[in-house]
Amino acid sequence: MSEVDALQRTLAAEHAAVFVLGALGGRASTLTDPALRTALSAAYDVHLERRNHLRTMIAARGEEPIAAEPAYRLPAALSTREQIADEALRLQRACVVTYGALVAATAGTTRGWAVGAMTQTALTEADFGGRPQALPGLHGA
Amino acid sequence: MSGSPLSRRTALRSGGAVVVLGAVVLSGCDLDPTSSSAPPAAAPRDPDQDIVEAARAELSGLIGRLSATDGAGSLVAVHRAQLAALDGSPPPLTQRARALSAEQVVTRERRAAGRFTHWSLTCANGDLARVLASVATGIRMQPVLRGASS
Repeated sequence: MSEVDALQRTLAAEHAAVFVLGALGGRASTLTDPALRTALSAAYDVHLERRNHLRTMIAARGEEPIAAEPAYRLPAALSTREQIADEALRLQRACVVTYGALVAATAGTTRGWAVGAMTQTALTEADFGGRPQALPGLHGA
Repeated sequence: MSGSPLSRRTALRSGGAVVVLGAVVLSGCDLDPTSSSAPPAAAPRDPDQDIVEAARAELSGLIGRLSATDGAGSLVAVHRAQLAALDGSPPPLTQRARALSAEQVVTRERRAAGRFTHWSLTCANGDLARVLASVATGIRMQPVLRGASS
């Protein structure tokens, strides 16, 4: 996979993450769980920033950043705290795998940025009930 | 979400296979008395070999010391899984290893995470970089570092 292809695939993942986290935040607003709302809001901000940075990196390489899909499929059952947290955790873990692929396809400062994003995303899994793993981002790679 | 076309084990093992194949071909040439008297070219050295060996040694060292440390069983299991991902063999159990204090565990784990991050940034092979970055991340995820002040 070329570096630009990997960046585009990561951008596609971040488009999805921004959409899904926004939707999850909306669902969580009906719950009396400020910790979950805060975690979702913080994750949303981080993914939004990364999405914008990925767009900049791709454009700097003379390519057109791919656009977001009109909508993304959400699980039907998203009404309880556990369901919302589980979906957020699934999303974060998928992003860790995606950033692992970006690490593999890049070098230099871009790889350094990808490693940082991989680590930080994995560390936020705990906010959604995730347990520590020995090798995050490799399963599913 | 994107996947990956190559697994880490495929990459690591295919790299090793190339080196072995090269050695076999060169040794076959040596048996031909009519061949040139020029010395055979050495098999190309894997540019990441030093990093892989250092990474295995780092994990083996941690496993040895943590195996002698009370309450570190889960960390030993984590590092064994990480060492296996690098196709390394766990060190033999000896009674010489000294136990680490709680502060030493944090220091050693933090140092290891930093080293694996550095190796992930400096190695040439992308799939190896992914494995090394995963090890660094996996170490930072463990409660011993999550609960420690930096």
